[in-house]
Amino acid sequence: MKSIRGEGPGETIESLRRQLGSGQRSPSEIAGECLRRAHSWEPHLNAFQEIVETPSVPSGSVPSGGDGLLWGIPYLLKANIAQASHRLDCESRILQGHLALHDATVQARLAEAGAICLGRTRMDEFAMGSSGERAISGSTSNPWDLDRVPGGSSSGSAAAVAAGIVPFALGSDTGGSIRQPAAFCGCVGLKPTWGRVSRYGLVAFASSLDQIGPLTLTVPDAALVLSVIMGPDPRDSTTLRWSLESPLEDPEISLESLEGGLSGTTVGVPWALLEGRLSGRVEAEFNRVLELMKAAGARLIELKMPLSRSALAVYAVLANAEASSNLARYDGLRTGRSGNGKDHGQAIRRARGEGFGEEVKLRILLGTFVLSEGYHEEYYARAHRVRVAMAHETDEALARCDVLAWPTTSETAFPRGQRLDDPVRMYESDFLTVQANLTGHPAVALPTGLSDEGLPFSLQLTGRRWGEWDLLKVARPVEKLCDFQRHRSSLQPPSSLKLPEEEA
Amino acid sequence: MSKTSLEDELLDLAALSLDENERRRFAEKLGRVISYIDQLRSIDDRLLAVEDSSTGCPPAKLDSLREDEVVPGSISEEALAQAPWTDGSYFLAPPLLRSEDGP
Repeated sequence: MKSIRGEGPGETIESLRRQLGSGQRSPSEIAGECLRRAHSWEPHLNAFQEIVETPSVPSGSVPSGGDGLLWGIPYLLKANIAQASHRLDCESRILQGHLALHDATVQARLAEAGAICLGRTRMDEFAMGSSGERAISGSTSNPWDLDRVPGGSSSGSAAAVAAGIVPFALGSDTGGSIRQPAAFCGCVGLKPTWGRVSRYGLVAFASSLDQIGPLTLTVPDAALVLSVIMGPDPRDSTTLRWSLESPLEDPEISLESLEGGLSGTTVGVPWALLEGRLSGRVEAEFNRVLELMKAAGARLIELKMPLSRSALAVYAVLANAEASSNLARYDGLRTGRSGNGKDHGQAIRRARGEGFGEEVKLRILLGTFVLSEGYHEEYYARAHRVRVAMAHETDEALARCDVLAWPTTSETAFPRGQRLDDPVRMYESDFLTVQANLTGHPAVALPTGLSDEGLPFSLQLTGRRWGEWDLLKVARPVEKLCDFQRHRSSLQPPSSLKLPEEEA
Repeated sequence: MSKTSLEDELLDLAALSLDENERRRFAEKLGRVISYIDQLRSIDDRLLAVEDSSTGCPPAKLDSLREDEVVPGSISEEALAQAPWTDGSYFLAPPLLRSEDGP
């Protein structure tokens, strides 16, 4: 087994901050150790689109107060988040060779905070996928079992954080693309309230659902990253809702405030929603964690959320309708892959036919179909009605409890190559995560234990809109009860050079 | 338009050129997904009686937008440099009506 310098896998932002604050380690030392770990893992994981070998490292010492929250902390960006002059192809042929012209707001905020960008991570093409197998540059593996998928679409971000390469990465979440890979890889994934984090510079998939958020090793780390990237941005009008709807909330983060207990917390569980849909292992683990929470003082109540059972169907209609519209801009005339044709229309149709991958084309067709004359009312308008009622149902549920709880995924990470030809089965991977995107609520996935096969289990908690801190105040004690961190030391790059099988 | 055949109209709307194999394959996959989303029909309408304004469900209406001001941009050269065809100042596109190859 290769030995990795530093404190071993699983160094948290909190721990690095302490060492940076005391002068025990410097930003360049930490960045160098992360890069060494990246190179040890990468032949096995295939998580990176780009590794920045000579990163921009802050000089001086840690700024005081809120300005220094992520100073000297290395991170990775998902491949659909713009970073000026870096590749921004969303793992699609149609954008091959495209370089970003500007920084995304989140990237600008991280750079300004003195965080160190060490690279860009692989994802499913245009963030459409649940397995990390739909990238033009190759598929990513799960660090717990290289023959299994890492989940998607923030595949590389989840795999790299779980493997302890960097303490955090950013992902995007349209239907679970932060939380589902976080679940499969055993890290914390937070999808903030819709409107909490600016999407300026995020390549749009479905704009009424997209949200950027952190993947980290712990809940306090997720809070730290969120507090740096969130906030109103005139370049994304959805972030202006925050001050309108939640004017009194104190944006200052206090990590100490997360360290309370579960006593007095009410947790809602919609059992009917889950019935018959969880694997035996996942159900047993969910029950185990609920018992731990109860023993720690939480009160469990049963909820009825009948509409939420249709969340995946609603999502399939609305997300793909929006995607077909957002992706209409790619015509091969301004960047990326161009198409030849005898006229304008043919050139565009050819560029798109050759440039988009299988799943993206399927979704464009589906989205176009549900928006087309004769079907719009039946599918799009109906799905929108169900969505609004589902949001109401979720708000009513959250009026009766502090958080909703259910597993993040109905099963643990599945084998590579198993679902590529079955779209409905692949979409079902997101059955438990799409709800929070449709209703706009914040939701966090946190690892709770390992299966007998050595694969992570994950609990998902959903909170009230704009209530991330209250959500994380429940998530943190659960994280401590489960103590998943103890499993991380078993995760080291394999000593043999067993490479993942090539994609067909 | 039949739900499970990929007719020219849908491909035109989607602006996608597909070969015969792809058309067959996508028709089959699309059929499966449409059968799945058809469950939306069976939802009890009584559960859907909610006014839009009573929820904070996205996409919510926004009353305040920033001023629509023109600000200088300096990235046009970089943007043009990534295009397959330009005349130095503008993107070039194939003609709308001409039966010759692209520009």
